[in-house]
Amino acid sequence: MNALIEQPRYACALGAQQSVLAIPGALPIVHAGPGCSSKLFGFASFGAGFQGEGFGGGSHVSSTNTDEQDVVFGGESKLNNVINGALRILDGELFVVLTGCTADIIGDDSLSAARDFAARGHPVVGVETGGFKGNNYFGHEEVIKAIVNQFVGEVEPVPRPRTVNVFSVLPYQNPFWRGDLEEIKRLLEGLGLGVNILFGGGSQGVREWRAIPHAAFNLLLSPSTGLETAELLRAKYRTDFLHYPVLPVGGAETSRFLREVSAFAGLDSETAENFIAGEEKRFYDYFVSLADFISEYRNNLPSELYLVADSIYGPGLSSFLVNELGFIPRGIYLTDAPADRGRRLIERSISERGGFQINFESDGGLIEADIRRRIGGGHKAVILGSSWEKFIAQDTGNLYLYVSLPLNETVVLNKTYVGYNGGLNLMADLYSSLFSRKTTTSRTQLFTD
Amino acid sequence: MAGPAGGGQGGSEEMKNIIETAVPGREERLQAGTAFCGPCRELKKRLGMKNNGCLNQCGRRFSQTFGCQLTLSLGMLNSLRRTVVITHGPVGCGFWSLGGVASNRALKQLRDPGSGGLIWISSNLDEADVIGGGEDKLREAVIYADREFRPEAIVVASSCVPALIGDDVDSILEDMAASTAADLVAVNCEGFKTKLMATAYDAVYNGLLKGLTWARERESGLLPGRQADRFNQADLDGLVNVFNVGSMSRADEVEIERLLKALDLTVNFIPSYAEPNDFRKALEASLNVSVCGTHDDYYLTYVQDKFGIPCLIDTMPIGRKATARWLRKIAGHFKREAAAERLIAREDADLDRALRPYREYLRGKRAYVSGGEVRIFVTAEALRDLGLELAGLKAHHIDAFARPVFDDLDPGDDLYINVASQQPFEQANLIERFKPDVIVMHSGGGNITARHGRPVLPLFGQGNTYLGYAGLFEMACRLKRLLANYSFNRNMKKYRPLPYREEWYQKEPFAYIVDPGAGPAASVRADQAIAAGKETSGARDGMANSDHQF
Repeated sequence: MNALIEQPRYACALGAQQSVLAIPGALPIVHAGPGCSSKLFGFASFGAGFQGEGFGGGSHVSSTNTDEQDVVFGGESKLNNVINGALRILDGELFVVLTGCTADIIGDDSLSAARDFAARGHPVVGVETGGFKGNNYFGHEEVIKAIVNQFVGEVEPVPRPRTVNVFSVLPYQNPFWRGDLEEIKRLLEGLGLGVNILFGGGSQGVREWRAIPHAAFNLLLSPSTGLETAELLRAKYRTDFLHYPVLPVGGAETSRFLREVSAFAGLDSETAENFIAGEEKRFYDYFVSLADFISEYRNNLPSELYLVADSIYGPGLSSFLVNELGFIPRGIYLTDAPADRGRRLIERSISERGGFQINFESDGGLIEADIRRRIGGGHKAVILGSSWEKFIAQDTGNLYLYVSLPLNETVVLNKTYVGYNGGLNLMADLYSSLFSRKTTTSRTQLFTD
Repeated sequence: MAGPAGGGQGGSEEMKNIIETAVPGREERLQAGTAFCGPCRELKKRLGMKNNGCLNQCGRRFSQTFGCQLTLSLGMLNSLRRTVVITHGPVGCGFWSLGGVASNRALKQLRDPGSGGLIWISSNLDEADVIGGGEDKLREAVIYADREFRPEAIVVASSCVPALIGDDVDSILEDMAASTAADLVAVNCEGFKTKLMATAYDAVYNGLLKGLTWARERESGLLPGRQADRFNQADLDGLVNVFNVGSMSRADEVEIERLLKALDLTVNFIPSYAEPNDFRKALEASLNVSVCGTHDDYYLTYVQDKFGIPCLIDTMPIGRKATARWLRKIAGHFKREAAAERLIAREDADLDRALRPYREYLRGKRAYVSGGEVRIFVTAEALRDLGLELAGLKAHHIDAFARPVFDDLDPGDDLYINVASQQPFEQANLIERFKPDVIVMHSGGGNITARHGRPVLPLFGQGNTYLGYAGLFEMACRLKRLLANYSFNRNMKKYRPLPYREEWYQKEPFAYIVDPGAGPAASVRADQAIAAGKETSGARDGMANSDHQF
């Protein structure tokens, strides 16, 4: 059961409208109150590094805007009208009906409305995402399962060798998802794989989703979100999956990840090793070029790590910062309330990677109190987190870097902290933040206030 | 003194009833409408009829998302200082608070440098609460907020779910009042209750009246006789409450204060960015002045009836004409007409000189203006003063508060007006028809609008001045700058068209509006348009008739 929550870091299940919008060609139809869709856009896009409305998000989202009459008499006929209008007005290839609390509580049969349209040959899918049912991580997975079950449907798989479906970061909820998926796709293609990345600009969109049953295997790059999807695809299309629970950041983890994928997919190991060698050379050339800076500013560099992110992003980031850059983990907080089996997997992954304390905590107020207590009067910390953590960093005279929501004081385009490129980006941002606090770079002045 | 506009509401007894129960939607209280698209002469005719010509009965067969009254309520409530706001509902309902995470503290500190930032708590209702009720969680949240943050007031803003599962928030807070240090304010603003986001203003004021104004009244023990004395005293001091709105910046407040100071008046700004105690101070003022009729008639009328503080609800001080009208009304109340005329004459003369180069540049450019009903009409008038022409208007909703400014503007009979909360599909259709040179747009619509490939001036902004004489000058400067280079928007259109099918642009923009109150003429016009597929009334495939076959 949920407890009351301060400074929440995730949205409700209906937030999965953003997952729909992340599929090129797909558009959501929201059967909910008038403000639901716009609020969730506000959280997961506008307030997430200004990621934009995309093709048809933001105010363009079709919505039944449930009113009192619908609550009393039912909202099904209105839903029919809005689906009808959306099919005629909006230029989409796939429409996903998502319900909100009102529709689910008053008992509208929204799914059969969607089914009726589908039966008449329209590309319409329905999914119940009433906000009280769970958070947007839950909703994301419900949407994927609904599209697979209702749209991709019963297909006899014709496996295409060396192709993979990727299930990983949450679109929009992870502010860097666009750049992350580009990097993940680039890495897998480097191994010689054909990649269905499924979300974002690198995806072929609806056509790619139709090809899901024919992939040689599925890659789940997340501790728990997506596990139900992978299991569904195994049951439905007999597609095996590789579960790699840690999002790879930096040289060591990315190479380990690529080797596991290569072995699982039965790829030619020489191709893989050649690719890894080339990437590592480039990565560590840049890495070593930081030597001047690190040696000169050693005494000024932050050494204590605080990190607030979800369980998909947090473990990989902190592992890189601890194991490759030498930070001392003081407070790692994972905010998305993963299921128990996800937690156990994360704990095991972390213990394989040096082992440090991680906290599963969704309440931002409790996280803030804990960070403030641990930091005390110290000036040696860097806090990776959201706009909330910026306040802590400013109040305590420490450094900060944005990695999680809510984020409304920065603009995110193609940035990534994943893979080899992500590790480089992270180092550059992290160490540059040292200079953003002062106009001078004198080491005597950096941490004296 | 000008009373509140609008039909429906009666004297104090009725008002008191309204406050003791809950707030009705504005479609009911003010017969406000949210769906209309046609020439201004038709809208004018409807507004002149009984019950606004049943505009409140109009709807749409297709709609897009906009905002609910909880959205707007949080926008107002989150600005209150020394206050904690609890969103009572599932976690997603509170996300309008997001915009406040970064800016809230800074904007509060403009009013009080020691102010803290936003504290955002959700009762986080889940499936078990939908079955068992959310009252215990709410109690827990209130106690936590009181003990942890020691605010002066705790506001509970309720979303759809507590209303559907029957949580009695008013009673809970009443029971808890004795056990908390903070004043407790219940704002019942469930989204499904109304199609009008603006009902939020009534819902918020309803809560503030119950939780703060009444509490203060009890505390100070004011009696009717003594009230009169106090207000006479205040009258001498010339204390005026100006009811600021969320779309006003601190810079706007500074401009308003400058103008009223010139009339020797003292200004108290409530409710935005006020602290709970300011509502007590407000009861000592001699006049309550609205800057936008859409916002605060509910509160002002009640306070006028209950405490005898007169109120002025007329126009919005944007542009020279409306600003002068607004100032004259206030000056009239205090018998300071001569001072007002001197001020207006001086400001007009200064402005005429300063605006000369801008007028030359802007002359003949065509503007499309979209936003709240009062603001768009006064802004349109201001733009005409700058030499622009009108290409079209779009209002979130329409009711009797628009009448004085609408009549004042006299937009011309054939100019098209769209009444719609967002609904960018209608907007896209209209913009393609009217091809304005510049679009003046309420926030939240700017991103869509940029994709029309035309320059967009936000209708308001937290960093800029729009109100008064300074506001007009600043609008002129910014318009000139915008029109000088809008490559970014042009490229948006070029590389990323809007998500609507080509066929939609061939149809009439009102094709999806259902209007049971339209007279025979209007129906015939619509039918002809749909059936004939003429160029001007374009629906080529007889959409309305074939809809059910789809």
